[in-house]
Amino acid sequence: MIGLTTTLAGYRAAAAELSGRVRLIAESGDIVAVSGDPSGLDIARRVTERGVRAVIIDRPRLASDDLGALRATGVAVILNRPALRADDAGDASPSTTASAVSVQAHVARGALRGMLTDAVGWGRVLAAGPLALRAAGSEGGRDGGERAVLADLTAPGRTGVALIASERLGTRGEARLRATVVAPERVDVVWSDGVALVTRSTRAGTLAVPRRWESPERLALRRALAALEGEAAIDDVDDWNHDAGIARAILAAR
Amino acid sequence: MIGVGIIGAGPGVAALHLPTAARESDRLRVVHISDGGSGHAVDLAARVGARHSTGIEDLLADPAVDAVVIASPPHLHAQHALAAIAAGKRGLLCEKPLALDRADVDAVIDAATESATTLVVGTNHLFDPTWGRTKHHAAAAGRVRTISITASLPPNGRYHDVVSDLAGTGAPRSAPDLSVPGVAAGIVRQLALGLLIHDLPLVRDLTAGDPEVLFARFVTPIGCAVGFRVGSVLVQATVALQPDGADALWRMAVTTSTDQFEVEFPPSFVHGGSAVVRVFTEGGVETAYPPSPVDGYVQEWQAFADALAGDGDGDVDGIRSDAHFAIAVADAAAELVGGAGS
Repeated sequence: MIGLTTTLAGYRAAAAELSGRVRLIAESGDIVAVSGDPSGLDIARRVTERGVRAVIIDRPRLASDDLGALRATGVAVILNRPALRADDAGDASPSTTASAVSVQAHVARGALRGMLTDAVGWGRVLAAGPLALRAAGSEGGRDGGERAVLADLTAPGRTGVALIASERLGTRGEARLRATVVAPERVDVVWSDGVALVTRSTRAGTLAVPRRWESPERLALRRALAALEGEAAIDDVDDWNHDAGIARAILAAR
Repeated sequence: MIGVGIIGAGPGVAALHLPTAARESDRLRVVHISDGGSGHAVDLAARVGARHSTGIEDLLADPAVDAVVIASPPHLHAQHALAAIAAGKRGLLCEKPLALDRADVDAVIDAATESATTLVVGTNHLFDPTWGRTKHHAAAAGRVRTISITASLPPNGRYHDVVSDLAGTGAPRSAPDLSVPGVAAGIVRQLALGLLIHDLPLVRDLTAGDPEVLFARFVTPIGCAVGFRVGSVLVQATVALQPDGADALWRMAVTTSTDQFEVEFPPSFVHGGSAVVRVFTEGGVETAYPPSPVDGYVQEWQAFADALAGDGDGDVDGIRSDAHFAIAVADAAAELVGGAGS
């Protein structure tokens, strides 16, 4: 039985949904789930000295260096990115090299950086490789106003990703992201209200991939278990570093 | 009844213009079709009881031809438009693009204005009734922030086959030799003026200013991706042909400071109603509006007939600005692709 230490409600529920393998313990669990803000990282740093083997970072809002330092302690680091779940990414993985990918997002004011990181991540997944930033431009954002960004990214094999994203004036409301693979088998991902809908279209018709009903927290906990049991190599931090780094570069463009 | 002559006898005329003209047969009648030497005009003309010829001279000299549809190859549009105006024809419906450079655009517009010749350009997405509805929503939804166009298009022949019984349409293209300098840039310019031209007038509808192209890429097997800025609006357009791809996708997504709109246009050539628009509001409400039974092609022919009947309000300044805008995007995109050797 693996011990999970967390104060986050979503992971307590996830433990109950995996009660055959996981039990909640007050401290020093094998797995610790923390919030993705700097306070959560402080907690994670402290508990790694007490034998913790895996850390789940929930909805990361951290600098890349912070996560790298945590990983350097030897623990497995699993990131819960609800807008870019590992299972959704698998569902959307293109069957052939894409001709092109377009990613478009619309978010509440102040939420662009986080969503842009996931939007770059979708570009990386759908272009099937790490991306390089070729060009970028942005509008707005002065005096706290809403921003819009546009970027041209390229993956090995020269699949290009056109990424465009903007903030709404209001600070409330859900984000909406759409990513499309232009290829003989077209793939379309729409993420809104916390759910990704993936469709795959060929000349024969369109397949709507079944919705993933598992909570993102339960998925993250299962991935942490798999990492501990040696069933999966988790490279969430590398992916995060890639996505966050490019997002930062796009946001720096004028 | 207005007599119409059609310059051009290719698949677009067989699959699009003749079937669409038939829907306006209470006001217009095709009386003459000419080809550029292919001989295809003979068969097409016989089907509609029209005369046929090769070249444009006989058609323009035909007194039964009151108005002209220009559906010749794009590099001949301006030349044929000027000839039709010089021949004293009452009106022109010119396929997009009106011309391939600014000087030719201005020459055609100036000649049409001076002679009071009716001029309609076949920008079917602009004529789509759904576009008017979308503009109405966008005007009430704050500032436009981004426009994203994504099109994945199977061969035209797939749609020619459901609106025409002419054999041999939509011959497969051979792959371009991108190692030859200028080929990729030339294709990107051609695609900007042949495919992006569908939506560039719509972009101009929502923006103000000249385009500043930020990036451009050739897309395999045939396509392009272009990113640009117009005023404070950012725009990306990715279009590619997919020889064995899924049913056509042609989507324009517009975000404003409050809402998002997604407009999905029907495939080219078919008559299955207008585009569909979905609106996503800040409060999480999604609204899908039903399509109109009238599509952009029918609407452009109706506009042509209305204008010839004196009911239209020909917007030649708008046509000029749309054409200049598209050429500016095409030129800058081609320069970037050529310069980068992409």
